[in-house]
Amino acid sequence: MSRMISLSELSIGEVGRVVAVGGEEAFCRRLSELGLSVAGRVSCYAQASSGRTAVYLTDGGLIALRRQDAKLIFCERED
Amino acid sequence: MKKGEYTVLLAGNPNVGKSTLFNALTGMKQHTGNWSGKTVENAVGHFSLKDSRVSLVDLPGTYSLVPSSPEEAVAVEQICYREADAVIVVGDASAPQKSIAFAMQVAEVRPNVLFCLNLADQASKQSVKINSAKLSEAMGIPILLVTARKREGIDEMLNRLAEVCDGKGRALRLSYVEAEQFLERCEALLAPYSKVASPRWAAIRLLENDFHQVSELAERLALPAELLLKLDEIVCEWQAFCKLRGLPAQSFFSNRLQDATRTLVSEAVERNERVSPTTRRLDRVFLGKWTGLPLLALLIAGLLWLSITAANYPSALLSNLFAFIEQELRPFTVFLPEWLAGILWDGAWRLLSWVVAVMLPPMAIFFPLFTLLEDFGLLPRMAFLTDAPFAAVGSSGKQTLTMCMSLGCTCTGVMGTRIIDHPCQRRLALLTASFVPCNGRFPLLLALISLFTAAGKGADGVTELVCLVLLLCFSLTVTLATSKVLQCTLFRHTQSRFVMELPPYRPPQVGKVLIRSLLDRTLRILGRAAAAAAPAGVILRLLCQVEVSGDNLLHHITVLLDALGRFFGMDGAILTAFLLGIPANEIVLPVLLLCYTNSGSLAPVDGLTGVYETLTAAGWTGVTAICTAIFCVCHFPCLTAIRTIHKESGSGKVALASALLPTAVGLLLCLLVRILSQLV
Repeated sequence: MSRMISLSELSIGEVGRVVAVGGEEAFCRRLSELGLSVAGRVSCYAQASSGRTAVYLTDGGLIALRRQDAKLIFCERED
Repeated sequence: MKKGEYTVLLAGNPNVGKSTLFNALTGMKQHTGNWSGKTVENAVGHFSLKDSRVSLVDLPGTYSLVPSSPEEAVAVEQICYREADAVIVVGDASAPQKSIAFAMQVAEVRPNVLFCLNLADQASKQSVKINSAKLSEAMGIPILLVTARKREGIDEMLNRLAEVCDGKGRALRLSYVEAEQFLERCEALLAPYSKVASPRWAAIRLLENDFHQVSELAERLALPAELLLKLDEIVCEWQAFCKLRGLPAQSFFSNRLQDATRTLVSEAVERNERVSPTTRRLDRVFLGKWTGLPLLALLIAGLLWLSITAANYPSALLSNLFAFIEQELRPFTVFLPEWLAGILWDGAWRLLSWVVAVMLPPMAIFFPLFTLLEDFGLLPRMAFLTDAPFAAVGSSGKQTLTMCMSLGCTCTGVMGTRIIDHPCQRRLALLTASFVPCNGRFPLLLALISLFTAAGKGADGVTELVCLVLLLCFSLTVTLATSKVLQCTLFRHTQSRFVMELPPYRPPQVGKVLIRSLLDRTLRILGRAAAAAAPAGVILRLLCQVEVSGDNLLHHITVLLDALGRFFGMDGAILTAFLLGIPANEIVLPVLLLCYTNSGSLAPVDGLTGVYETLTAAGWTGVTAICTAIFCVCHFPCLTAIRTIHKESGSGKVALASALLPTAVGLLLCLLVRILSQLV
C-alpha cells in the first residue's frame, strides 16, 4: 500500500486510485457523475499555467478542477 | 403496433449528440453544441413511426437525476413525472461510463426506456468495445448502437422504439439487500399514487430523505398527509436501522447504484485508451502551458475583428437595399397625412433599417464562427484556462464563455449563464453581463476609435485592432474589479467551486452549424431587436417633430441633461442618445448625430464622413471621446437584455441592479477621467 496523497499532488502523467472524496454532498455527487468516485482510476492530464487549475482524466473522461478543490480528493499513486 | 399518438422523451448527458439524434429523427433544425447546457428550451419535433405519429421532446442534458442547475431540473422533472410512452436515453459510446450510470438511473425510474449509444463510429475508432447484449440483460432495457450523424442504426432503433412504446415493460429493480424490507413496505403504500415513476423509485427517494426531493415527490404524487406520516415512520425505522448497522442512510442507495454501474461497466465495456490520440494531441497545444491562453485569446480577438471588418460590405448593401425599398414604396403612401407618413418612414422604417443593417452582418458572421468553436470543443477548455483570474473574484472560468457570447449579444450571454451551476457565480455573471460590449455597441466604439485616433481620416487596420484589444482588456478589467467589489460586499462567505467536463474534440458539422446558428441565434435576436427598434423610431420621430416653445422635444431633453452630461465629461446629447438607445444599442450613434444636426430624421448608415466635423463642432475633445467610450462599455444593457436577465434570474431586483450597477460604474469612471484631465 502506497501513501495516501491529495489529488493536487499528482503531477502530469501520474496515475492514482481514488480513496476518498471530501467536500459537500453536491460536490461529491457532481464528481461521481463525471466519473470521479472512490475506487476509480484518475490521472493528471494537464495543468493551467497559473497552476491553480488542472485537468484530470477519470473513468468518465476529462474534468477540470481547481487546486483547492482537488485537495479534497485523496488517492494512492499507482504505477 | 396500433395507430395512435405517442410521446417520447429524449434524455441524456450533455454533449452526447442528443440534439443530433433529435434532428436525425425529426428532420428539424435544432441547434447542437459540444458542451453542457446547450439545449435551452424543450424542443418538440414530430415524426411518423409505422402508422403512428410520435412527438419527440428533446430535454436539456443532465448528468444525473439529482439536478444541480435550473436547466437540469427541467429535464429531471420530466423524466420522473411526465407521462410518456417511452424515454430514449442517449449516451456516448466512445465514453460510455457516465451514460450507463445515467441510463441505470432512468431505467430505475420508469418502464419503457430505450438506451441508445450514439457516436458508435468514434467508439470503434477508439477501439472501445461494448457488449450490448450483456448491458441489455443487466439493465433490462433494449440497447442500441447508433451514429446519428451518419444515420447509422436509426432504422433498427425505430423498430425497437415501436416495440418499447407498445410494450408493458417494468422499471429496473436493482437489489438493495439490507433495505429491501423497508422499500417493500413503502412501495406498497406508494403504489396507488405513483403512476409515471415506479413506486420502487419513489420509495428509494423517500428513504434517502432529501428534503427537496421528498417535498417534490409528495407534491407531484399528491400524497395525502396521513400517508406521509406512515411513510415517515418507515423512514425513521430505516434511519435507526442504518445507525445500528453503521450504514450511511443518505448515500446508501446512490453508492449501491454506483457499485452496480461500475461492475457492469467493467464487465461489458472494454477499452484501452480513455482519451483518443487526436484529443490528446490537440490538447497538447490548446491546453499547453504557454500555448493555450495566447492561442485562445488570439482566436477570440480574430473572430471579433473578422466579424466587424467583414461586416462592412454587407452592411452597406443592406442599408442601400432599405433605402431603395423606401424610395420605391414611399410614393404609395401619399394618401396618408404628412405626419403619419413621416412617423412611418422617417421614424420606424429608418430606425429599423439602421438596426438591421448594423446588427445583422456582424452577428451573421460572429455566431456561426463561435458555434464552430463550440462544436469543436474548444470553449470548455477556454473556461479551464481562464479560471484563475475569475476564481480570485469569486466567479469561475465559465464566465469567460458567457462573456464571449455577450460579445455577440448580451441576451445570448445572459441565457448562457445557465451553464454556471453555482447560484452566486451565476448572479455575478448576470450583474456584470453588460460590461462586455455587444455587437450593437461596437459601431459607436469603432467610430470613436477611427475618428479620434486618426483625426477623422479613418484609422488603419492595425490601430483599430490594437484599440479593440485594449477595449476588451478594459471590459475584462471592469468586470473583474466589479465582481471583486461585489464579492467583498454582497456575496461574502460563498464557497465557489469549479468542476467542468472537457469533451473530446469533434469535427464540427460546418454546413449544419452555419444554417442553425443563423436561424437559431442571429435571426431570433434580430427579430427581438427589430421589434424594439420600430416603436423606438416612432418615439424618436415624435420627439423630433413635436415642438414646444420654438424647439423640438429632443432639443429640450438635450438641454435638460447637458449640465449632468458635462459633469461626467460628456454632454446632454450623448446622455440623451444613450437613454434613447435603451430599446436597441445600435441607434446610439445615429441619435447622437440627430441631436447635433437637428435635422429631424436619421442619417444614412454609412454616414461616417463628416461625423468628425459634426462632433468637433459640437465641442468634442479627446476627453469627451474617452468618456463616451467608457460609458458605452459601462452602461445599462438594452431593454431586451434587461428583460432576459429578469427572466433568467427570476428577480426584478437583479434585473434592476444589472442596469444600475454598470451605469454607476461607468459614470464614476467618466467622472474620474474628467477630473484627472482637468488636473493634469
